[in-house]
Amino acid sequence: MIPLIQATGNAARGDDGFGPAVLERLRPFRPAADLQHCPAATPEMVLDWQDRSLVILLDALQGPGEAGRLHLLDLRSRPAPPLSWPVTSHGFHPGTATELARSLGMLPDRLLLIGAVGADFSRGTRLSPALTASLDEAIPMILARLPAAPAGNPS
Amino acid sequence: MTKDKEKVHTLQVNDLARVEGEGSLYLRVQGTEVADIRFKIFEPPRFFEALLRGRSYEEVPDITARICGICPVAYQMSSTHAIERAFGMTIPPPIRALRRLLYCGEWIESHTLHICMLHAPDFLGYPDAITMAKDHRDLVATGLRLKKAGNRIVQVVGGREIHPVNVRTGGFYRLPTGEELRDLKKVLAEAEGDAAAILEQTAALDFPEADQDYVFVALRHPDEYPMNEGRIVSTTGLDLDAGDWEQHFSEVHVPHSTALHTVLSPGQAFLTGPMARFQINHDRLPESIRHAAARAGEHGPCRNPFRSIIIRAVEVLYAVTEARRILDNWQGASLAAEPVTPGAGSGCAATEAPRGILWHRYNTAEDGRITEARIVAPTSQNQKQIENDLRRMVPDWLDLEEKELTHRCEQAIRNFDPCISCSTHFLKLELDRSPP
Repeated sequence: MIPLIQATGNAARGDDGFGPAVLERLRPFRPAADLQHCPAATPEMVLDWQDRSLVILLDALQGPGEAGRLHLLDLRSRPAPPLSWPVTSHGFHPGTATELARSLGMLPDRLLLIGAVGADFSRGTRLSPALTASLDEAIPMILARLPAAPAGNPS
Repeated sequence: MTKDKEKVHTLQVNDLARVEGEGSLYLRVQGTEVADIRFKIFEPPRFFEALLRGRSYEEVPDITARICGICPVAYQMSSTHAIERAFGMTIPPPIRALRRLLYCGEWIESHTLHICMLHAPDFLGYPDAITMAKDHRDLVATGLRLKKAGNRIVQVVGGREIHPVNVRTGGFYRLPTGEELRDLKKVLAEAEGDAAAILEQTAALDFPEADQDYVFVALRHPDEYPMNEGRIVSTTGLDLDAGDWEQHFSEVHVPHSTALHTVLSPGQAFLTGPMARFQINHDRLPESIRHAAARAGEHGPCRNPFRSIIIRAVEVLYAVTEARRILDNWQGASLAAEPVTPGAGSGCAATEAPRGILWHRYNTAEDGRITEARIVAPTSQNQKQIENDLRRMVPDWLDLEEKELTHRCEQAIRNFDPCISCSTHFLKLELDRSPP
């Protein structure tokens, strides 16, 4: 199956909107991938990972580093962190989703996370200047990992 | 904890797991008797009722939807129906059908989350669903597919899957398109097999003997298994309109909970939720669902709270088939919403949230502003019964090691699928044992 770019985050909560903002910036490039926005990380998001060659998750991070700094993590090859989701559905995040997919045998061949360190997650605000500046940097990071798009330039 | 029953033993579970919200349990055992039990809800009060005062009726469905991420539809339905009653409105059948479809989506996603991710690990001996998924892949994967199907209904009818935004007084802001509903039919056709499989798997679990003598309270509708409408009926003979709730139910403050305890006046505990609905409305289920429940060992009544997981699975299967029936009969609607003429008044409504009756009352001013709001969530209603269940069950478990006793207590609380976030917000267990 073609790659999946899955963004989590809320565009009305400041830098939490990094993921959906990257999706919108990516769309004109017509990438050879399914694009999906999940308002929040949920257990069922892993259903769409199964049988994929590549899944790229986009999310805002709280550190490390300065606001706007991008991190590229290979979630599949990372040693599984201690499980920490016995409490409530509120504590679910891409890390727990990864471990759920690992338990279910639904991990894609490659599972990457592109995360941007956020500065302001206030309700009712838009991306901070630092995160807005990071959008242009995120696009080539994604495109470089995808098969060639039908058209090479944004339409 | 020692096994010396002549000493004081305190068992404390500080953070109850696999429930929605934050609470704890304190248990003091004297000899073989439970001397004190406190199901503590310590999450701060959320003041939604005060927040609603002075707001326009138009804002109420969106504000109340924010009370819970798992059952926002219930809040939208109870609030909208109450305001429509205050304004003297009647709702045409197509809008009523879409609202029932929306509610089916919430029952499917909420019940499935609880069955497969939160409660099943108790019965199968795992600390969480992620660990359980390694050995019970089908149960978890099927549950995720079902939850996604429920979410899809909420997204299509409610505008988005978490905290939907498409509900308004009089109807909806936008009707779903024919293409969206056709797509939903395909999703639900697959979901029906998944729901039947989950029911079969829950029926195969091992259950402790734990029958209780409950007073059940649920809505009852003349023709339907209740969701949006019905009279408030109890197994002790109560039969009320929602407007008469406050004459028969009261809320009392207990020092150990930030959520008020709802009691049948003057102080009787009762149970609302799937077991109560099943008991009071078994005859309102379609024959196919009654047969499926009977094959799972449930002919009604079910009085063993550990078997509530089966009743939830019956309700998931029902909600899927009911959603399919609604979609098959859908012939469109002429208007997305009835015109609204606000006015001064007071309206009450009760609907069946996944966890039980959700009762709302709103008083409105001439221009439709809210002058008073009152909301009674199902977990508030079940708190006293949760304590009563533990008071009766714990003496049978006192020979257990502390870890196992703690687990049993947590499991007994999870039988209720408490949504502490709704009732304000889970489990620390404190066990205190003292000589007789």
